[in-house]
Amino acid sequence: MNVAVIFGGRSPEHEVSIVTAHQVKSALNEKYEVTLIYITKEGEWLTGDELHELNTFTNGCLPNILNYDRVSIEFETRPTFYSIPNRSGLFNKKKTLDIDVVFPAIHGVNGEDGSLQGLLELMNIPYVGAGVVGSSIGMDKIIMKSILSDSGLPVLPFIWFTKHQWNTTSEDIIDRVQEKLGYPVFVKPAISGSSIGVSPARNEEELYNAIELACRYCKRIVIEEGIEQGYEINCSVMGSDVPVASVCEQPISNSDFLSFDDKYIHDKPDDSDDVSREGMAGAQREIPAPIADDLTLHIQNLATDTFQILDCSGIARIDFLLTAEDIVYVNEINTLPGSFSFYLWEPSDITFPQLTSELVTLALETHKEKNKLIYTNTTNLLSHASASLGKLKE
Amino acid sequence: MQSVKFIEIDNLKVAYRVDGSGSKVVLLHGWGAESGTFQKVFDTLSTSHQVYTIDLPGFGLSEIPTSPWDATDYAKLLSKFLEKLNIGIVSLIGHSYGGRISIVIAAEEPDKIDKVILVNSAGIKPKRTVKYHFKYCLGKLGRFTRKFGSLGNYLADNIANKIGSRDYKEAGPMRDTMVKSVNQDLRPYLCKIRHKTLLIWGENDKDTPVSSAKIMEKEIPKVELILLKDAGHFSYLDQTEKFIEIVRNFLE
Repeated sequence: MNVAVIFGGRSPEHEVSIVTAHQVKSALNEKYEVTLIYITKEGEWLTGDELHELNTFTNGCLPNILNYDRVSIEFETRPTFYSIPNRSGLFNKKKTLDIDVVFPAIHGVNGEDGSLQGLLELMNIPYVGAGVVGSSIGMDKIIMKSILSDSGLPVLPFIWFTKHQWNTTSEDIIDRVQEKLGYPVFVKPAISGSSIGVSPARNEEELYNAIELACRYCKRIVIEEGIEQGYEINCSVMGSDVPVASVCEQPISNSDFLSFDDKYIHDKPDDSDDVSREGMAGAQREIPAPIADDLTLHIQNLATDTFQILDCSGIARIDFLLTAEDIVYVNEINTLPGSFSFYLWEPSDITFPQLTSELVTLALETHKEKNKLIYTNTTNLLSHASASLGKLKE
Repeated sequence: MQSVKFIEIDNLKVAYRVDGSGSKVVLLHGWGAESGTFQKVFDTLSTSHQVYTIDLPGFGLSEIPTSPWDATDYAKLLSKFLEKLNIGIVSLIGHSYGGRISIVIAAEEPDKIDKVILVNSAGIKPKRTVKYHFKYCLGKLGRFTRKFGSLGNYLADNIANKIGSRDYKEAGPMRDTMVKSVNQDLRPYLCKIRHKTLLIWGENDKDTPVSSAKIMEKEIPKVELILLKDAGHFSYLDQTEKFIEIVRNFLE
């Protein structure tokens, strides 16, 4: 069976994705053939054996279109992946890429947000992880929070507005924040991953700067109540119809909240050949989180509820915020978590290769189920409709 | 690095950072860069000075100007920035394109500026070599071929890709600003700079060659030139420690 790992992409989390993809590739290699498809920061799709070497990415320049085989998707007559050789020649012909399952390993926009999933749906190829709806809801903090609070799950009080509203009625918005939420608050772009563009605000001046910053990354902004002296707990969920929760982790933050720097930049191992503990797996954390058993269970239940309410599948990591009094709030969901949260499954004796194999199986099952559903009528309704069509003519 | 702040100048949101206390210094980045490129310089220098660094409009987190700008427009923006934040007199450190802006504001609004440091600065139009004239003709030819339908366009795109500079190709919506800027020869401004001026140059610079530095050295009245070994266009990144030491001495 051939699994294609698609990674990179036009997303601020490009580099993180490269690390995740190579971890996934190593894990998949035990059981499957792996094809790597790399999307450059400019949006070009490349493939080739050289991509399997991490050195290709760490030697200064990232791969570019000049030196690699290109990937094309042709829609004649059923959408299919092809690889087009970099150098043309007698034996260098365009080849079909036989792909049985796609393993998306792109974090953030243009990958984790439902767009890549939409493409794969059209191509009718099985793929790992949440579908179009789950992916896109998980990516949009405003919609996610609205749906979760509608379903009775605890989310922090928030307000939201558009960049246009901010530019025209900024004073009203600042008043609303001060009346409804009070300081401190967290200002976030509605769509962004890894805390990019997110900042805390403790007064009006900080609020103004935080909103301006968030406006650089998204045209919809969400502001939520800040928790002082709180802490973060994460939990992974896997499955589809009957999802199960992993152990919980507590990330250890260097500042008020876990920022992009904390997640990915600090404390990376020096040995760049060993990717197994890089990315999210390399961040500082305590596993299992040092919290009471009943609290763990409560969080695990909330995690599986969130997973189902948001129509997820495959795997996800749900991040929670807790107050000093242990009141739990669902903070966000990552439908394509960094390093696929494999480190959260190891304590349950599930290795990374087993995890990836389980995800491939789930992808195939989901795809099979989906194709059993009725999408078209086998009879041609038009052939029975001559009477009513006749009326239309008149 | 300090968290980013925003200020609105002529309907443009401009991002900047400020930290430290002491005499005031503004860092101006080059084309295609952003204030973050100065991070090391900013962090170190802010232990002894009050350091400002701006994302120039069109770069980093600042908004893009709605019309094409040249260095004079950027200098006007900088002047308004200094006024709006009541910063008072500042010293400037301008790299590459930021050097252009420094030259203009120092010449046009001398009262706002204390000392000037130009780092691998742009502003001198390079002497035209045979290679330039060849590329220029090829460019004209490329534009001419566009008259011949799709094959002509294909040829023209190919030519543009081969001869256009990297900055030009990547400039996107800032392309007109870039064209307007590189065609602005700042040589006439140099003799008007009455401030103590320091030129810091990476000697391997290929974008703004040492020959530009020599011209500036000749034309600016109170000037000193320091060449940095093993450093290119981004000399402040190639030789950060030496760079900061030189800057500190000069600003004292």
